[in-house]
Amino acid sequence: MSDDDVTTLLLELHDRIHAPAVPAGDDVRRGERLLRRRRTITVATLAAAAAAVVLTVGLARPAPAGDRNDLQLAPAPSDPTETAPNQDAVFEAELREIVERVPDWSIEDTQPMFSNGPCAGDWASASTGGGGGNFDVPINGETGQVWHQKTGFRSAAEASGAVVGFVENLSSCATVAWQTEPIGRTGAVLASSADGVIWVRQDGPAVAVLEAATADGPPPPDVQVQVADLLSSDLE
Amino acid sequence: MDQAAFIAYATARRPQMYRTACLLCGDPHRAEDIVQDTLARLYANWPRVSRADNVEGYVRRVLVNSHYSDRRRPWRREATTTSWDLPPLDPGMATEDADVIWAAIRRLPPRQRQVVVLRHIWDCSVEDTAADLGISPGTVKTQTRDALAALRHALQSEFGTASLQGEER
Repeated sequence: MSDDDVTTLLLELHDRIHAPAVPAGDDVRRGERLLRRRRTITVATLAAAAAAVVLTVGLARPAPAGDRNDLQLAPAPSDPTETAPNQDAVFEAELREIVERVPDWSIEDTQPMFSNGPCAGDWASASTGGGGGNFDVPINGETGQVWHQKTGFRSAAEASGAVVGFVENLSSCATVAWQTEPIGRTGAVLASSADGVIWVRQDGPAVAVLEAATADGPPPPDVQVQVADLLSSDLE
Repeated sequence: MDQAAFIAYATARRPQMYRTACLLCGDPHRAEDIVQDTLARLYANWPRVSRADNVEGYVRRVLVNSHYSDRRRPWRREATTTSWDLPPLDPGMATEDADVIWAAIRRLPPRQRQVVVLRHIWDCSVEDTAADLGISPGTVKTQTRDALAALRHALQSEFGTASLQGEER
C-alpha cells in the first residue's frame, strides 16, 4: 500500500460524508449576532480608554488607591448560544493573520516576560484564576513568539483596578521606559518600550494581556486596533 | 458589506468545510459547531478578508485550528474524544470499510490529522500548511510522513495494496 493509496482512501471517505443542508441565511444571522456583540463590547469599554488617558497624564500625581474602584466597566454581555470551539487555536490563527505581513515590524523569537517581570509588579494578586501560553507567530517570513494571558477577577472593579495598577507599574519602571496610551476607541491600552509591546484589554471581570518582544516599537495603529478587537472577542 | 458574495461563498463551500471538520474531530455535531463558528467569524471579517482576496486561507486557518490546542490554558482544554459519533455517509462505501478508515484517523494525534487534511484534502503546499498551523515546514514534512506511515500501517491489512474496488476519483 502506497501513500497515494492511503490518501485516496481518505478522500473517498471525505467525499462521502453526508453534509446536511443548512441555509446560508442561518450563517448570516450568526455572523450578524457576532458583529452586534463585538460592537456592544466596544461601546461598553470606551470608559477604559478614558481611564487610561487620565492615568497616563496623571502619573506624576498618583491618585489615592481608593480611586481605582471608580474605574468600573460594564460587564461584557455574553451569548451562550454562540459556539466557540477551541477558542485558543482560533485566537492564534486570527492573530497570525493580522500580523503576518505588517510592514517594517518584527517580533523577536524569544519568550516575552513583561507582565510577569519586575516592572509589572504584582498587578494580578487579586485574581481568582487565569493562565496563559506562549505561541509562535510567523511575521514577514520570520518566526516570533508572543505571550497571551487571561486573568479573571471577582468583579469588573477589581479587574479595572488591576489594569490600572499594571499600567502604573509599567509607567514607573526604573529600568525600562514604558509608554502607555489608549488604542483608538477600543478601550484597550498599548504599552510600548524599547523591549517590546503589551496589549492590555479588560472586559468585565476578565483581563487579557498580549505581549511581544520587539525592537521596532508599536505596530501601525490599524494593527493595534485589530489585535485589541481580537482580544476582546476572545474574552467573550 | 457584500452579503450576496458571502452567501454565495458559504453556500458553495459549506459542505466541504463540514466534511473537513468531520475528518478533524470525527463528530458531526462538533463539526457543525466548528463550521458555524468559522462562518460567523468569516462573516464578521468579510470586508477585510474578501478585500485581501484570501478567503480560502482565512477559512482554512480558522477551521483547521478550531478543534486543536495542546498546550495552552489546560483548564479550558477540551476533553479528548474517546468515542466518536461518526457522521452518516452517502452511498458508495461499505460501512465496514468506513469504520476501518475512521479508526485509523482516530488514532492519529490532532496535529498529524491537521497536516494530513491540509496537505491531502485541501491540497495545500508545505509552506502554506506551515503558515496556517504556525509550525515550520520541516515539522509539516515530519508530521505528514509519520501520519501517512501510521495510516498505511493501520489500513494495510484491510485494504492491502489496492484502493476501494470500483471507485474512481
